[in-house]
Amino acid sequence: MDHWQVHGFSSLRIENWDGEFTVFQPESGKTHFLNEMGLQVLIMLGQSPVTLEGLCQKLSEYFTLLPDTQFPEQIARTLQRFEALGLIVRVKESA
Amino acid sequence: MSEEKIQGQTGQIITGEQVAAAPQPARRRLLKSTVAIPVIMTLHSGAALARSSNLVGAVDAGNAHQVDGKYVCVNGATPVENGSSTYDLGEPPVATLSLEDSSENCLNNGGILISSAAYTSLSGKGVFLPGL
Repeated sequence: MDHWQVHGFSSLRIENWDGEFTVFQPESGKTHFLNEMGLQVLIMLGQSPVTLEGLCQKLSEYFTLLPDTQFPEQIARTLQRFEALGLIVRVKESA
Repeated sequence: MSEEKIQGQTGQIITGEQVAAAPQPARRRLLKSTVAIPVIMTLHSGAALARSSNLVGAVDAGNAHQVDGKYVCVNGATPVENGSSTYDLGEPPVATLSLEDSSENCLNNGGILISSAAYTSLSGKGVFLPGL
């Protein structure tokens, strides 16, 4: 099962704008605008590689979300978007 | 770093490592806002924006520019991002145009279809169909 982790997390420049966040990515020169959950995805993947299921669980606990069958799908799309932007990378599970 | 401190840092630059230690802030706000999905918007670099006049959007066959009943196909364009329908022709714009009998002939060979407006814009920048 794929794990995900942030690529160069420490190089990101994150600014808090009253609960909304800008993330400057020096490598690409792009600036991303994230809400709190978008930022938490990056933070959680910056701490250690996490699977989609693990990430959904962490987010649900952090934001005290009720179970929602569509949530993993939404998070999967977010991961794909972050990957396309070069913010995160897919890592294979070690044996 | 405390939760309160993170919340109060409007406008202050902090590193990813510092933020990683932060937490618990958004729970109440998120529950209030009911926006329980991640939101991502991206502003491209200044250099990319400067080239924006050489960006073209791919259109479907119904909106594609045609010459003498044939589709104008743009070959050699690079999407600005994976999966994007916006293509960057570079600075100066470089692309090879061809006329195709069907839209599939263009799309199946990696080309894109463009609108009449986009074609006019490209023509004004020196990108023409061969022979025109």
